This record gives sequence, C-alpha cells and structure tokens, in this order.
Amino acid sequence: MHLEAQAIVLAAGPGMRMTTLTNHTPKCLLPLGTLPMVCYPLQLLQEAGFSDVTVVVSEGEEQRMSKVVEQYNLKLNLDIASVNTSHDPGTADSLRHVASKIKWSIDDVVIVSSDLVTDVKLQQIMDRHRSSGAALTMLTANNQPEFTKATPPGPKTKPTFNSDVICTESGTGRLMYAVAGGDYDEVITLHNRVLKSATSLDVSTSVVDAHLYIMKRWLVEYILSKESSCGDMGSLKAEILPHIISRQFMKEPTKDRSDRKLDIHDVMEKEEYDDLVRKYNSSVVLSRHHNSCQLDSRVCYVYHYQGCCVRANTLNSYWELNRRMHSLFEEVYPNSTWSIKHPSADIQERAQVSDDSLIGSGSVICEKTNITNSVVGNHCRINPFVRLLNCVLGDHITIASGCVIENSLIAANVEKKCTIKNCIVTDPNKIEENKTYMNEILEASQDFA
Amino acid sequence: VTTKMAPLADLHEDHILQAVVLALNPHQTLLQHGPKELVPLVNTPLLDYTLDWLERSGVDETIVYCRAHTHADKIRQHCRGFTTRRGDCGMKVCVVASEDCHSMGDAMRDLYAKSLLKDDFFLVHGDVVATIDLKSLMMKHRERRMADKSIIMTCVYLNCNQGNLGDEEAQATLITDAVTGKLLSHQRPSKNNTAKFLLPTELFQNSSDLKVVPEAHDPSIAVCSEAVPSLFSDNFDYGSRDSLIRGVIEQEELLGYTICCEILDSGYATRVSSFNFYEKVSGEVIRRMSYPMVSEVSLTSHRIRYMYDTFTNNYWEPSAKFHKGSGGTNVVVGAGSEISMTAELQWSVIGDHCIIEDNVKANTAFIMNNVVIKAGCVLDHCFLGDNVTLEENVRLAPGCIVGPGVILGPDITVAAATRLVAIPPEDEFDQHHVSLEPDPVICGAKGRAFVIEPEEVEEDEEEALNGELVDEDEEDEVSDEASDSPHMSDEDEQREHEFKREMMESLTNALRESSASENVVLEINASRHAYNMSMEDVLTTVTQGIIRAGEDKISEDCSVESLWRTVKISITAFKDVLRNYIRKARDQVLVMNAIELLMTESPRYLPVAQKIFFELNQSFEILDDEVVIHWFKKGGAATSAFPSLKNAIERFVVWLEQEEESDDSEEQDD
Repeated sequence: MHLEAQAIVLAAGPGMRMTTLTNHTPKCLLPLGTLPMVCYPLQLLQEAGFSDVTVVVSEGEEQRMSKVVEQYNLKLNLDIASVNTSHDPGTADSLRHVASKIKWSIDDVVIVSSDLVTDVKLQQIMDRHRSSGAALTMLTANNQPEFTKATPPGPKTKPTFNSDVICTESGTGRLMYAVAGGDYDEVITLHNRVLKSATSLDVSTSVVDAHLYIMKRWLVEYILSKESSCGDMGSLKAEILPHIISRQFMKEPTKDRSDRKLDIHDVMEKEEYDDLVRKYNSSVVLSRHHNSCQLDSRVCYVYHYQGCCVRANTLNSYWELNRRMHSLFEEVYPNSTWSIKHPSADIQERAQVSDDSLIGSGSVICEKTNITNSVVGNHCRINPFVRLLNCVLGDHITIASGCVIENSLIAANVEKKCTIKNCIVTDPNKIEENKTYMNEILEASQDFA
Repeated sequence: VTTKMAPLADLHEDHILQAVVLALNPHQTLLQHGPKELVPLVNTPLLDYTLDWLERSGVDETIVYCRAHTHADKIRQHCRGFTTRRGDCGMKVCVVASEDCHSMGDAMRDLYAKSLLKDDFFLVHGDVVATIDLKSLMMKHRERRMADKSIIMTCVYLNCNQGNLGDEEAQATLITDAVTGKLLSHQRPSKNNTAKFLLPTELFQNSSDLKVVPEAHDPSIAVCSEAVPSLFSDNFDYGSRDSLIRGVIEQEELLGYTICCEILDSGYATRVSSFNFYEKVSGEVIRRMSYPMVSEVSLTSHRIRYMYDTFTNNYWEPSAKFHKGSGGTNVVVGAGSEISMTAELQWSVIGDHCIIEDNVKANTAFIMNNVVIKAGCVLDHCFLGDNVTLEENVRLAPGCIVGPGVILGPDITVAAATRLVAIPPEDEFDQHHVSLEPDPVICGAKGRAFVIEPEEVEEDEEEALNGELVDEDEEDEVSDEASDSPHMSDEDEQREHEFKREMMESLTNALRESSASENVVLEINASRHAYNMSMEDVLTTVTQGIIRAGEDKISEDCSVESLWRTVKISITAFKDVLRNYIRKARDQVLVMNAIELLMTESPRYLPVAQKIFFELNQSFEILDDEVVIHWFKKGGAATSAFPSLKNAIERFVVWLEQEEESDDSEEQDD
C-alpha cells in the first residue's frame, strides 16, 4: 500500500520550563486531564487516519511509552525510538535519530510535538499543504494569554517571555520570515528580496508556532543531510526553519564551487503539475517580482488556526490547560471512549463531585468528600472528609482523610491531614500532620535526589 | 471604485465638509504658459479632475490655495469658471493666495491664522486624479477619532507598486499597527538602496501585530483634523506633510498625537507629479481606469463632449476631422483638429485646433493646442506644448519635451530626452554661454528652439525613462566641467584657489581637533557661500581635502603604508561630512572624478587609490557598486591621470563586479 504521509511525534523534550514537574516524570507523560500529554497529539494523528506513528522519547522511557497505547485505548502502532537526553539534544537531533525510519515512498512527513493540545483537523492542514504546493506548512495559532499568562500554584514568578516573530504575506499565508523569541535584538533585518516578493506583510508577535509541521520528504532529507547547512543545527524551530524560510528568497548558488554546502535548490523536487497546482490554487495575484528569484519562493506556508491550539510547554499553560480540560476535552480528544468521568471510577453516593471535575479510571472517591473544579488522575484514592477546590491531581495519588486542598498541583501522596493552598507537591515526605502550606513548592531537595 | 457610500446626513451634522487643494507649484511648466495645475491631461486641466472628484465626494467647500503670483489669477479665473458653470447648488470653490508660501506648512499656517478651516477636512494636491470614495474615508476617520482622540490625520495609500516614476514622494515604506491602522514608521525609498530593511523590535511593545507595506503608492491624500493646521503653526520647521508625519511619530509622547493610515487595495488615485506620471495617468484615463472620469465626458459641464468608438478606443470632438477607423487606436482628438487619413497614431492625445498631416507616426505623444505637425514626422513618447510647429520629417526620440511656440525642422532628428524652448533661458551667471540665435543643427533650418538642461528635480525622471542608472549625458557634462576649468577667468581662478586653501585649512584643523562632523559641515557651507562656489566645486574640493587633510603630518617620501594610515584616519573622521554632500549617483561620480583629478596633482596618492575606493565603497558605503563599475567602464573623468588610476584600481573593480554577480548567491540569511 502506498502511504501518503508518515507521522513523527517528538516527545523527548526535557520540559525545561516546568522542571519542578519533570524531575520524575518525562514531560510527554505528565498528566493532562486524566491522560498523559502525549495522548493528545496521538489522538490527533489517529483521528486523521494514521495507523503507524514514530515516537521519539528520551532514553529509558521506551517502556512507559509503549504502554500508553494499550492503557488509553489508542488504535495506533507506535514505533518508538529513544534519544540520549543527557547532553540536551535539540528537536533536530531527535529527528536525525529517526532518519532511518523515514520511508522513501511517502510524500509528506508530519512532525508534531508531544505537548500540543488542539482541536484542529489535521486533514484540513494537509489539504492546504497540498493545494498550496508547499514544501513546508506550519501550524500557527493565536497566542492565548489566558494560557501563557496564567498563574500556576507555587511562589509567584514573573514570566520572562519573548514572543516569536512570524512574518507572512497578507492574504496568502506565505511564510516570509520567522525568528524565535530571544533570537532578535533591537532590530529585525528583512532582506529586500523578501519585501519585494510581497505587496504587504503581516508581522506578528501574537501568533505562535504550534510545533506541528508538514514537510515534503525532500525537505526532510535536506534537513537531515550532513552536507547541508542544517547539518549542525540543533533546533528545528529556532535554527532550521528560519534557515529554510530565508533560503526561499535566495538565488541558486553557482555550481562551480567545490567547497559549497548542499543547497535547498539542489534537492528541491518539483512535481510535474506543481506549477499548475499553484497557478490554480493561489487565490491572489502573483507577486510583483515573482520571477526575480530562481527558486519558486512559494515553499513555506502557515496554516493559521483560530480555535483552541495550545502547547503545554510551560507550567503556566500546563496548569491552565488542566484547569480548563473539563470544557475542552470533547473538542481536543474527540471520538474516544475516554470521558471526563471514567466509568470505572468509583464515586460513592454521598461524595459531592462537581460537573466541572475530571475523574480518572479506577479512582475511588469516598463518602463525604467535596470535589469542585478539579482534576483527579487515574487510580487515585480520595479519602472521606477531603475537600478539593481547583486542584490538579496526578495518577496513583492518595489523599488522607480530612485534607483541605485548594488551587494546588499534587503529584505525590498526601498521607497526613493538612491544609494545602496554592502549592505544588511532588514529594510526599514533605507533608507533616495538621500543617498549613501556602504558596510553596514541596519537592525533594536536589541534594538527595 | 469603492461603492460604499456613507449616509450624507452624518457627514453634515455640525459643519460643512471642507477640502484644501494645494496648488503650490508656482513655476510655469514646460508645456504651457501657466501653472502646472492647469496643464491639460487628456484635454482637461488637471485641477478639474481634482475639483470634480471632490464635488462627487460631497465636499461643500473647497479652498484652492496658491501662491500670490502672476499665475494665481489664472487659477482664480479658472475656479470662477468652474463654479459659474455649476451654478449655486454645486460645490463652493474659493481661491486663497498668499505672498510668501513655499510649502504645505506655510499654507496650513496661513489658513490657521485666517481660521478658514472649521472641522475635519481633506488635504490634497491640485494635480491629483482620483476616484476613491472620500465619504467613507471621512466616516472611518471620524470613527477612529471617536475611539482615540489622539488621531489627527488619516493618510491614504494604495497597496500597489507603481514605481516612483521620478517623484520620490509617490512611494512610501510603511509600518503600521495591523489592528488600529496607526502609522508607526514612514520612509521614502532611498536612492542608495540598501539590501536590508530594518524593523525595530521596540514597535512590538505597543503593537503585537504589524503590517509592513514595502512600496505603497502615496497619492498625498489625507483626512486632517483641525489639530493639523494648529500643529503646523506651532512648529515652524514643519514644511511638508512628511516633516509633520516624522515629527508626530518621533515625538508621540511629547505631542500626544498619532497618525493613522488607510491602505486601500483597490481604487484609483495618483498625483501627476512628473512627466512620467503624466504619461502613465493619460494612458489610464484613455483606458477608462479612472471611470467615471472618462475622456468623452466634460468634467466642467458633465456633458458628453467627444464621440467614442469602443472598438478602437478612440475619442474625438465632433468638429474634428478625424476618421475613427484610420489607423489609430487609443487616440483622443480635440475640437477643430484635422488628422490626415494616413497618419498612424497610438496612445496619443491631440489638443484643439491641431493639424496632423500625412504619414505622421505618433506613439504616446501628448500634443497641446494649435500644434502643426507636417508630413512624415515621427513622434515617440514626447510632449508638445501649445503652438508648436514641426516641419516635414522631424523625428523626436523618446522623452523629448517641446515647449510652447517652438518650431523645428525640416528633416532633423532630436536626440532622446531633449528639452526645447522657444525663448532662450535667462541665466544670470552664464549669459555668455548661451547664444541668442537658435542653432540650426539642433532645430533645423526653419526652426526656432533652444535646448535647456533639465532641472535637478526632473533629472531622476529621465533616468527612469531611459532605464539607466546614471544618465550618460549628465556624466559627460560633469567631465566637461572638470576640463573646462582652465578657461576660467583669472578672478574665478583666484577665488577658487582661495576657497581651496581655506577648505584645506579647515579640514586639517578639524582633523587635528577631531571636531564634530556637523560643525565641519557648517564651516564648509559658510566658506561655500562666502566664495560663492557651486556644489560641484565644493564636493570636489572636500573630497580632495579629506584625502589630503593629514598631509602635513607626514614627510614627502614616507612609505605607502604610513601614507595610507594617514589617509584612512582622515577618511574615517570625515565620512559623515562627505556623506552629507552625497545625495545622488551624480555626486558619487563627482567624488570619483575628484579623486582622479587629485592623482594628476599629486601622483603620490596613486598607490593608495585602490584602498581609498575600497574604503569608500565597502566600509562607508558612500560609493555604490554599480556607480563605481559604471564610472570605471566609462573611462572615469577622462583626464590624463585615468590610465594610471585605471591600473591602480582595476583589480578592485573586477573584484567588485564578481562580487556583484555572486552577491545574491553568497548572501546568507544573516
């Protein structure tokens, strides 16, 4: 059977922006609602009709990853590769790791990050990718400040955060320029050739790269080739994409130099009807100088999605996604047997569980508990007289009888009766009887870890 | 054409709707004896297009502002004619003339002092041909002002690149806030085009989404609030609209004002600000792109004045002797003109009472009134003023502009881009250069015409016309000047010598004291006025002076290395001074000529010539690659020093050429 596309999920990310949580659990397996984070992109791919998915995880997590599919009723065959994360590899290194797994027969490669939560339909992005004749289509979304600027529990920290700058041609979505936040100073330099190939440009800092890319196979090969300039680049988003986007507007280098690197022009594959496809699908007038570049500069496009599209890559958005999962779940995890209150959960009769709470599989909610607007993970046990308000609980958590927990993220058992407000708990040993904790991070000290 | 019409009632709530039309071009044009605003475009004076458009847009009162000048009366008379024909119900037009008005700023200050402007008003130029809907613009402006009181002006741009066609103000690079439309940066395209566009990231602090329009067409149409005239009168240094925009953007915090822009994707609006635009807009009117302002309708009476044949797209006055099928397309013929059946005309406009004889070929020719073109003439892309006579077999090469009353021929060919007038130009300085009798070589045996040099401003247009980077004639003229210098009178020579000496002294002192470049420029300008030197002389002297400024510190027979060190220090110190004097490609040519001349005077600089060129080109970007290559290939200033200079810099120029070729491919993303 001819496969049109191959999907790769990059799940080896160390979660640098949420280290309190990722000390014990890899980022891709952090619970989001009652499911591990990686389930959301996997479900997205499954919905689009993929049956095989390549997943790159960090070394040592292959076992846990392989269980995810079975555990959460996904109908996918996972091909799991692992990458050594001790020296902080970039996304491009992950991709290089699975280079041998990319099939020669496919047309496109779908690359998606493990932390994407969205209700976009992958098929629509794919359709646009093909109709525009793009070599690269990038999913972008509005920067949603309610997620990125949310206040997670724990001591107050000021989010320092530089927006990405994404520059597209008005009306067509052609990607003209992109630079990652932090990679620019007082000025952004645009080459004249970029300006001349569009009548007007939208330069935005309110649009974010959602880390879902569809690339033509030749482009992936170019990225992975050791002879290209991409050979020694580490990050897909910060280095390789800006490079490819800018190469769209450069002329083909002269052939005669022996020392020159492999150029995008050398590997570019044009299909027989490419030009016709572009001609009849582009909704706008041809750019004024469309002939001035030898390379057809219609290589990179964005697919801008206005709906829900958030990455759980910071503590802020991770927290807020959990908090809102009850209302988002049906959209971002459609057609699944999994529901916000799992049928296997044992909610006892006199337990009060609000409608906007999520209860995972096999959890036990005892009598005389009050759970409001909270997420309770799988196989948890909430003992009697516990009050949970605006909380997020991981899997396999036991909460001792009589605890009052508000606005907190609990990733460890709370075995003694206490009051916890606005805290992150990752170490059970830090909890003492009858104490009150406010605005703290209760984690194992690094010295003993 | 925008069809969205705003309800009239809303616009007239409190005040009448006003418009200010600036007719500030006081000089008589090459095409007729009168102000530019009254030059006919497709047989209708330019000003009528503006007035008709304003009237259609529901403007109640238009103030035509012009300089008190002999031509002001012509404008006044014309406007009176316009209103009389329209009767009482039409738009009121009043002409305000002032003695001392040189810019938009002066006009605004005067109107503010006279308190003639009561509310929001349109500010346009008298040479604009437009059909865009002003009513909806006014509504948008008022809506925006309701939301944000700080907005004082809405500028209108078109999102289409038409090139600048000899008018730098016809194009702008804009950065706006994509949400509010606030103008954040406004630049005119610079001549020495850099390969990069810089976007300051501090703009993102207040606007998360920006819209960048690299080459917007600027028809100089604005909706202004009453704050604009008052701002002009508070700031006497604001001359043009550009300076106001710059001031408002730069001092946003201080003034508390902002400017919005409206970038239209469709609609027709352009200024006829150069001959190239004249040609372009004429063609567009003939092609009916300016509908409803089309050639067959008189804009003063709104009656059908011309016959119109849709098949050939020809227009002719019923009294004209013109056969619609006779070998012509896209032709407009005015009243009483006689066109021979054998004439071949295309894209041409012929005024009233003209005679065009057999076998005349005209392509894109613009012919005013009472012109006689005899048999066998060939006209290509040219302009003929009133009462011109072309005898038999005159050929006009592209770009010729023939002033009123000129007689040419028979049997001559006029070179491309020649400007001819009937009365010799009065030039107070070089009267002895101009012969008072017409030169039969130029204008033919029966002819009467004098060649005039194009003015500085119009120079660019010719470049665009010829599609050349540097006008060749221009350059030759420059080198002529250089070789002309021995013919100068003793007095002039003395004066120049004094000037040179003083210049050397100030530069040497400035180098020693490392003075700020502004001060050096001030000093140079002071000397220039004191000795009454031309800009060319100043540039030549300054260039040579800069190279030699450190001369007193080194011995006659020092090594090439130490000589170069001294020269380099001096060039680096004065790079901004030099840059200050360089505006056009021509100035760069002057600099290179000056260097060449220096080699004749002191050949010791020959070994460092290449380094000087390199530094000026690569490090300081004072000389453009193309200009250097062009100059070099044309043989420099053609003095005796060129061959040796050629040897010295050949390697650099060859490298530069290769660099130029491979530049694009070499250029990585950084």
